[in-house]
Amino acid sequence: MKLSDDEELLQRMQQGERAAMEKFYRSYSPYLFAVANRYLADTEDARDVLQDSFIKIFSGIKKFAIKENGTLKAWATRIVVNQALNFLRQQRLTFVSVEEVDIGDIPDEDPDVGRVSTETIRKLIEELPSGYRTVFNLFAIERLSHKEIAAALGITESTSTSQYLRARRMLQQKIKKYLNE
Amino acid sequence: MNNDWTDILRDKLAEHEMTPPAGLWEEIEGKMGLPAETPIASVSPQSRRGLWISTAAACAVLLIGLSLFFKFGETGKSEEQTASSGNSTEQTFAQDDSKTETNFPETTEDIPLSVDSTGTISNSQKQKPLLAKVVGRTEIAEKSENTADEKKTETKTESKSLPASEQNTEQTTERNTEPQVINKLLEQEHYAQNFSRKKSGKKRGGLSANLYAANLPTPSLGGAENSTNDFMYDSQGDPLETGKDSTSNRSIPRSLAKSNEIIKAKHQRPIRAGISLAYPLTDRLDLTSGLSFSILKSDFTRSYFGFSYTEEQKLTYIGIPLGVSYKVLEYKAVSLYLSAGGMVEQCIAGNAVNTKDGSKGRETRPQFSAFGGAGLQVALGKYLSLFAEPRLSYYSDNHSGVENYYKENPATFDLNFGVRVNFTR
Repeated sequence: MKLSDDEELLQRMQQGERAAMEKFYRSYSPYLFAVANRYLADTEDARDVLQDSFIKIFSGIKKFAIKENGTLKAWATRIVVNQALNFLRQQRLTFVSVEEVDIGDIPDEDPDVGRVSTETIRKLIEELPSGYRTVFNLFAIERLSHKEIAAALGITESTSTSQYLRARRMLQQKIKKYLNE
Repeated sequence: MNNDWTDILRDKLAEHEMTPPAGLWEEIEGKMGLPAETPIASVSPQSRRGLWISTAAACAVLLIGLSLFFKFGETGKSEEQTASSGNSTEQTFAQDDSKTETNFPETTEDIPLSVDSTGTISNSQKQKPLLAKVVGRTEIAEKSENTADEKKTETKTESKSLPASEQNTEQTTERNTEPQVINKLLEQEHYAQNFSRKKSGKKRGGLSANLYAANLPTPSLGGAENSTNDFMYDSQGDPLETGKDSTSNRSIPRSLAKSNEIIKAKHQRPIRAGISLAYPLTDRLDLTSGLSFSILKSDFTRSYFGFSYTEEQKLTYIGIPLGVSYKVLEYKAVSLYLSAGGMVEQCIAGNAVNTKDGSKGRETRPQFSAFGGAGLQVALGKYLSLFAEPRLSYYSDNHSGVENYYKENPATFDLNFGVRVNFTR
């Protein structure tokens, strides 16, 4: 049975082949750096998280196994997200009370996201308060449930829900404002 | 909950890339310290060093205590022997010492005790045998007249004993390793027997020191050889337990199994080695104590988007047992005894995976256990005996978030076996 590209690359990395590791880094670091920047407003923090993530990936590569429909990209993304969450925990991630943030008028219509560049969307997400940003990323992008987010962040499900709804509305407002400028 | 616009947003971000910082790959290479085409080391040198230090400190305390105790005992006996021989016990030991010295170096050099990760025992000149501890201890008693020599011997003994304990951390608890370990102990016994034949003295009535090892070869009351929990997820994402063991659901809280995606927990049988001391209270009753080292290994398998990742938890415990043993029968060289007592253990090394919140840290809570069992001892000489002691142990729940074999199998059989050296007072 022919190995997939991912399986072959994983196998070579598990054998300690340095060239395979570098190939893995060159292939996925641009995407993973963008992921880290979605969670962390500071680029330097994102850099540290990315570095720690790759070290963790390479150090534990022998313990990984590909299952059905698995991709190296998805797995590495989860590592980076977990590392980012660890970083945020160490920085004492705070969740702003929903009453403390004035989000202005709530748009009635969905924003036309298609007209906004990806980099702009990332920057707008980056502008969200850290708690909002984290919950929004985990729920809307990583597709975790509020129960999972609550367990991962040590908050209640209701807190996760309210933070997400608030983040969503704030982002709607920001996108609308951007499109109207 | 997601509306269309967040789905579009997600799709756009799925392909978003940013140029990584320049020089980051070189930094990663540097931090990992990888020479070209060299496999990655997965064991932290710091953690291993910490284990060595802990082990050395514990051994030092034990050896000093033993040394003082033997010295005290010898003083009492020398008064008795002076009346008959006019010589002190030290002189008697000195005679034995001359015989022992000719055999002891061969013994320590020739007995390998290197068990690799597959359970295969191989020769290793660097790995000193556990028996070195016992013989080294004897040396200390023999040379008690010379304080300086005693210190040197003690230092040497420590340095010999450390690799033996260190190598235990590399052992696995595969069932097929057990006979090999037993064979190795028998090998040790063979050498030790040669050693013991050179000596003379009373068979009973003195302090005894035991070296033992155990890896719980018999099925636990839970019924699992290696406790394994398997979880699968229903359509709602809730884990459904499929493990055979009725205690399996203790290992992973349901919420965590989902949120941290731990899909499997496997606890290997503990490996235990140590030294025990027996102080005779009466002809049949002994007070027992000592020091034990246990390695508890667990594997937690997490799932990551079609990948699985196995995370190892290896905890090293130091334990102090306290109990009594009662000799029930004795026929020639064979004796049968009953034992009971308790033990307190403390984790001294290893990062524990807290399955309640997924974090890693040190297990700080002590582990208490009670045991009762029966032992069979075969005297192989005046000073040496071989023993096997099956026990029923009960490990209390210390209510920490750390899962290990004790939590999975609170009531379990274990088998302590090894060599026992009796010292006369």
